[in-house]
Amino acid sequence: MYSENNTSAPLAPEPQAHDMQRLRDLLLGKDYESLLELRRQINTPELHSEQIARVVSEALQLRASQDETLSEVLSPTIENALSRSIESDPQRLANALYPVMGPAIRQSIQEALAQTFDTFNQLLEQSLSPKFLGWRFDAWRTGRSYSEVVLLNTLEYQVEQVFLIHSDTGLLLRHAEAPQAISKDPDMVSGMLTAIQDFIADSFSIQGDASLKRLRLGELSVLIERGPRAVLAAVVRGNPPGDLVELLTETQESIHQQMAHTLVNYEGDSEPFVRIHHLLEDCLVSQRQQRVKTKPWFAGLLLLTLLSLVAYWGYQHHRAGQDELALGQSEQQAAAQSLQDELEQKKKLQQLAAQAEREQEQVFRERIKQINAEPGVVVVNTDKTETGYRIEGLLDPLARHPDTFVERMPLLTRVGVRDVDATFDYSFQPYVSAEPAMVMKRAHLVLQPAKNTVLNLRDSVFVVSGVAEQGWRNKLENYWRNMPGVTTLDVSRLKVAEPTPVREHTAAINRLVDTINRAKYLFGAGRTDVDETSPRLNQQLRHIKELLRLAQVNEQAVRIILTGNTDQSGSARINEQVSADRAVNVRDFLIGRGVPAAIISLGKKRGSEVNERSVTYWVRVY
Amino acid sequence: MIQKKICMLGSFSVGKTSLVKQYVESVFSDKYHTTLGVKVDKKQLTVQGQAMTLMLWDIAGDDDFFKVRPTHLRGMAGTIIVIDGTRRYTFDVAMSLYKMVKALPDGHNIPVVFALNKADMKSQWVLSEEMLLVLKETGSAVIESSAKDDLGVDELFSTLAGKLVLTGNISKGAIG
Repeated sequence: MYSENNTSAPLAPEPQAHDMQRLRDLLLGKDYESLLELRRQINTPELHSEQIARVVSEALQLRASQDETLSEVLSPTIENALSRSIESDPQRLANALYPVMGPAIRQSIQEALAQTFDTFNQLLEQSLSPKFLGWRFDAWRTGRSYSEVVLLNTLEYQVEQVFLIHSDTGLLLRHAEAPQAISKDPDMVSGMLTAIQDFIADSFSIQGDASLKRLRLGELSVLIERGPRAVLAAVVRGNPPGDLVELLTETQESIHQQMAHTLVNYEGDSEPFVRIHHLLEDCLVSQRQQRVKTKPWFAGLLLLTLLSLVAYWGYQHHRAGQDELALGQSEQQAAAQSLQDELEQKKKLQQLAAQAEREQEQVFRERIKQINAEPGVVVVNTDKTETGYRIEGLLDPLARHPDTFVERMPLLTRVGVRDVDATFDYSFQPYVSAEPAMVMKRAHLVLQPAKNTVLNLRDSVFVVSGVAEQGWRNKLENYWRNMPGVTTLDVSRLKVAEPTPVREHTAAINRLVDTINRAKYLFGAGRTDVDETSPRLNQQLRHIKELLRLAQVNEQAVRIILTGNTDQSGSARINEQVSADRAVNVRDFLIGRGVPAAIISLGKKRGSEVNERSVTYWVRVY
Repeated sequence: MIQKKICMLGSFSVGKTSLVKQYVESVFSDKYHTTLGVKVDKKQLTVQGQAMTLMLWDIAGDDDFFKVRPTHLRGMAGTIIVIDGTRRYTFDVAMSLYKMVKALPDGHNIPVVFALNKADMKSQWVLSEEMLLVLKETGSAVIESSAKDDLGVDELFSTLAGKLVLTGNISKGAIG
């Protein structure tokens, strides 16, 4: 070592490097070699790949057993690889999948078929049960399809709709519904659902975080799961199980986790929530009822009914057989008996006919009684005719004709058969009845007492009380002596009033004049004809007639001036003619309905001065 | 599609419901007003090329029987305050409602449109120039409307919708 040091000392840099090499050899020995080899392997890609290739499967396996990251990392690559592969050569993947897809599709079809058969079978079985009929009825009543009703009834529960609602605004973020569910506008439902929750919270001053969890109406429930930013509401038909609430809670958590940022910054755009639609759809779960094998009580009932029918028929048959036997034994006796029966039958029929006739006679007598009870009608004679009766008598012209009040009665045409009404053929002579009711009716008709004048008949005394005018009083004096059966007039309680105060009528007249003047009859464009059925026109006519009546009482004269108008379209000359025609037509209508022609005159031809297609009235009372 | 919550506010019988009815086809019956104090309707429209759904919260009239529930105002993006031009009292109610809205957290960002309703009975209006000035000074739009004659109804809602598009605003301040 020493000598080497000596000899190498003068060769300055070279021996130094050599020394370092030696030193390394001394210190690290063979390890250094392998270290260099290792570095070479890492730096040379071919060698490094070779190394990793040895362990890569084990490494992946190990990592996969530790956590999920591997699949997360690999899935984009695998997806890319798959789509690349399909793009370049779809057949290859199809071939690879064929052994898997074939059985899967077959199984799926088989299951679908089996399910259909099962449903069909079930329906067939049910088709004779009362439940089936009930469901049919339900379907008809509610307007749903039958299959829908069956589905609803065989379901234990079904989540029909799921709403995701923004807490603050009540706006709908996302909505999912089952295929058969009937849903109204989910946006509005969402708003109202929020309003209802607010309403409950406000109305019952609920403390703290407590909130509405469940609404229930009949077979429908609404389960509400509140999150910090959004509300998840599920509409469930049937009995929702406890784990449904759990499912909602989990869904709510996932939504808040995945959409946290969107929820916090929500400004009315619900588009991003499409991403979590599948979470809502996952909540649309349902559970069919476990079919319990029930005892075939319906079939049993049917069998029992059949058996009893057979038994009854057998009994009847047996009895009939016995009767036949008896008949055979004494045929002669039976023949005699039958003759006797026939005679008896005839007799019975005759009795029945007589009875019916008596009955009809009695009904007729009732009718005659009814006619005679009516004031002003007297039946003198009656005859039976082929189709009914002929009735002769006297009829006061003021009395009601029996045709208007006598009830119909059935006619007896054949024995026991009454199928048409009997005709009543009346023949009346007019007469003046002295029956009080008729006397009073006539007195009212002739005297026309005022409202505050009361007429009465007590035996043969005609009592008049109340208030009447002198003129009417004179009329009464002339009249009462001609009243049939009246011998005395009692006016001890009748006050003679001053002639009707004119002022009272004047007020009414002024009102009518005002009303008539304000009313106008309007025409369609270019029309001059009058619609005789117009309610306003007919009301106007009534007003005019009432005015005439009152004016007559007041001994005043009435004058009506009709003026026609047109609008400003058309020439002045034509408008003048049209306005005149309109006035003439309204006048003719009024005259035709009994307004005296003498009191109506036509105003000057005004044409389009007031620009209105109308006829106006101007009434004066002198 | 942007959704916005709009509240219809105003004194009793100023015509809020009639305005909404004139504007939308309702799904729910009016009886919700008296039971819940609110009824929600929907209208879709396009403002400045932006499709928008307005959820109209028609809130029962502010009077002795119904006080406006603050919870109903929560999260609203804009409001229409309705005044009956023929009743002075409704103006006072409108102003107090306006203050209530502005006092909400973030309330200064909530656009308000005043509807001077019953424009068909304008001859019977009792609103003075000063009162109109007070309304205009709030910086809100003031629009005359009549549900009966279908006057200004579309304008009311489209004006408010226009403001919503402009500000892209929503009240984020929650009450309670």
